[in-house]
Order: sequence, then structure tokens, then C-alpha cells
Amino acid sequence: MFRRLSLFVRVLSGLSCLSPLPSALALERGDSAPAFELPHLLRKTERLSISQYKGQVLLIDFWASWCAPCRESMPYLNALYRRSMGRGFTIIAVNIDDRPEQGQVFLAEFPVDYPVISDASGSLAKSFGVRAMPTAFLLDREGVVHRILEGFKRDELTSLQQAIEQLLDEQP
Amino acid sequence: MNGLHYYLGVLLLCMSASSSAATCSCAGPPLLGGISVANPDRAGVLLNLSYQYHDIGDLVAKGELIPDETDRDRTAQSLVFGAAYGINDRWSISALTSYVGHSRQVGRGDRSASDGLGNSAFLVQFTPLRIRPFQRNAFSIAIGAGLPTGKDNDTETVTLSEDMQPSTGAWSGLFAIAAEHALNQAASNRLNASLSYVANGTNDRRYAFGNEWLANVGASHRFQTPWSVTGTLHYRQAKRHTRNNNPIPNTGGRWLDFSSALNYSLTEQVTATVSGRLPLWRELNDSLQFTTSYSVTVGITYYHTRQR
Repeated sequence: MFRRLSLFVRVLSGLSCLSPLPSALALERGDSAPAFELPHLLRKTERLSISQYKGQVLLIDFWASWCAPCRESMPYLNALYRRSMGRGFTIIAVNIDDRPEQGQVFLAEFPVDYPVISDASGSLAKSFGVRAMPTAFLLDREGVVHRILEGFKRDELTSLQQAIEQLLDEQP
Repeated sequence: MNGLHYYLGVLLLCMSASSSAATCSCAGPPLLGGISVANPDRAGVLLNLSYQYHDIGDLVAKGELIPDETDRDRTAQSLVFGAAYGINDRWSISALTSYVGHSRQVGRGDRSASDGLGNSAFLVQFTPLRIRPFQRNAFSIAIGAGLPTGKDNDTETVTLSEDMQPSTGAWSGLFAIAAEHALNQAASNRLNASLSYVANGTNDRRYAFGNEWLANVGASHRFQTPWSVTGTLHYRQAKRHTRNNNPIPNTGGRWLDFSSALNYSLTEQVTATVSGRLPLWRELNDSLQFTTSYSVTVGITYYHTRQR
């Protein structure tokens, strides 16, 4: 009995060492966002880099065409963007559809004013540790994660707006 | 419906129920054959409450259903409360306990009944893979113990038989593995499989329920609404029960059941479930056994995720 238990524990330990460590890679509050450069979802020849937005408060919003709450969140985020744009605030939407054309169809129905990039391979989503749809990361002017929103909850919008205002008021 | 809880959602291990309640010595399946053990994400908490009604009215000779001329009425009901906590994204612990009631009446004879706290179980789960937007497979292993927290010596004029007791009165060892595969990126269509083994100990009356293998294969579909459905095939193989290490006739066998569940997400965190289970095939030991006609389960699950 003890021999079997010992074998089981050893197997578990082995698996524990071999398996990937998604949680260790996931961004948490206080971490610096990784640099990236990805193609625009609608204009394939155009690439967008986070360095273009250095010194700005950023909301990086991961979404997908099959994500039902994204249909609700994106119009809200667009309104938020319109309210705060030009004050050093930008939203970058990251579409993670493995077939980007599905994201394009979604955008035709739910257009937004902010830039949308395509992460069809999931490399950026993995580096941010995205585990749910939608997930948004609020970054301060230094590119440090200030807040992470998983899922879309209307009651979080007011506090999100306040957090953005607070970050905009901070001196660069 | 929101995809949040679905990706953060848990990989469920269908465990044997011997961990939680006495089985019918006439080869009824474990009361809680459909219980699920969850493995939430780091700091995630999952609470589940379910009620199961189990009708044990089929009289079977080997694999053949035969008329019951004794007009026997045998039911079991159970209330199971489970809780799980994610220590980190790989390791989680869960515990569950049960309240079990049995009832038996043969013809116009007196009804025998018992109820009380049943068995409980404690498990540790290891989950190296979880379904994510760019990870289509999930895998989990669980090991644990069934605890005889309830009474196993309920008495009317005489001590009731083991199958009528709320608890088995014995410890048990539990082991399970489960895997799931998402057929699309949205993970709205999934296939799942699990295998579990339960080694039952002996109680104070030298009675032991037979050790069991359970294998489940299923599929699930989540609609673009709060609804989702699952269908699962359950294979169960149980050894004969024993007393003083001597096998008890008309116990043990093999069963193949089908269950279907309908789930409704009331909120992002709360899901209600109703499911039913029917036998498809059975090959039971010895000459005659009463066994499951059907079971129905209703449950509600609350899942709290850690804010990152």
C-alpha cells in the first residue's frame, strides 16, 4: 500500500515538474506589460506596437468574436474611449480569434474607434496570461499593470473610469 | 452567455459515490454516483449543493429485467454539499459531505427507513492542464479518502442491513483521472472522459462494500445563451461485497448508464443543474439483484474566482 502511494506521489511530482506553468507566466497587478508588435485586424499591412503609446494610460482589451459579453463590453469601451481620448488615454483591442476574419465580421457589427490588433497565434494572450473572455488590463503611464478585469461587469465601469482618471492625473 | 466562468470553470472528476454513502447490497449503484469533484483556479472557491432521488426498483437476473412480484418499493435520497478551493492553478483540495435517507417496503409490509449523516470525502487534485483560449486540453488527477462520518448502525427492531444505512461505516481510498478536450476555441463543444477507482474498507461489523471502477465518457455543448447540456455514458464495475472476507451473493456486477444534464447559468457565478440517469445495460452477479431504475439530481453551484 505504502509502495503504491509512494509511486503515486513520485508520478505527481514528476508531472508537476514537466507540465507548463501558466500561472507563473500570468501577469498580475504591479507587473510590467510585455512589449509587442502585432498586425492591425482590419489593415493587415499596418503593424501596431505598444511602444507607440509610451507615456500613455492604456487599456488592453482581449476579446473574441465568439465571446457573447464582448458584444456588450465593446460599445461601453468605445464610449469610454471617446470620453477620455486626447488626454493621454488609449484602448488597444486585441482580437484572439484563430480565424481573424471572424473578428472582422464582428467589428463590422460592433465598430470601435480605437485600434484593434490580431493575435491569432495567441502569443500575446499567453504572455498576458489571459484565461477568460473578455479580459482587460489597465496600464499606467509606465506600462505597469494597475488593474485586471476578467469578464464584463457593468458595475465595475464606474470604478474603471475613476481608475483611469486617477492614472491620467498622475504625473508622468 | 459570458465566457468568463466557462474558461475559469472547473474540470470535473466524476467520482464514485461509495465515498459518500452506503450502496444497496442488492447491487444498486452508489447513491452519489454522479457526484463531481471540482478543481478551481488559484484562490477560486466552488460550493455545490445537490439533491438526488434514486429509485432502486428494477429486478434483474444477470442482465435480464424480470417482473417483481413482491411489489417492492426501494428508494434512496441524498443531499450532498461539496466545497473546493484552488491552492494554486495546479493544486486544489475539495471536501464533501452527505445526508442520506433510505426507504424500503415490500408489498403491504412495514416500511423500513433510515436517514442521517452519510459518508464524507476529502480529495487533493492536481491539474497540470486547463482549457484556456489557446489550450484545448485539460487533465486532472485526484487522490483522496472517504470518511465514515455518518452512522452505520441505524436500528428499527433490529439493526438495518448495510444497504439501508446512511454511512458505510468504513474508510475508503479514492483515485481518479479526468481529461477534457475543447473542439473549438470558444470551448463551447467539449468531450470529456474520466476514470476512477474506489477501494472500500471494512466496517465494525466486518462488512465491506466491493471495490469499484467507474469510467465516464461524455460530451457537452454550451449555447449562446445561459443554457448548456451534457450527455455522459457511465460504466461501473463493482466487486461483490464481503462479510468476514466472504463474498456476499447477489452483489456486484457491471452497469452501463446514460445521463443527461441541463445547466442554466443564473449569474456569472451561479449555475443550476438538473440531470437524469437511466440504465442502458447491466450484467449482475449471481441470480437476482434489485438495481437502479432511474435517478434524478438537481443542484446549484456557486463559483467565486480570485480577482487578479
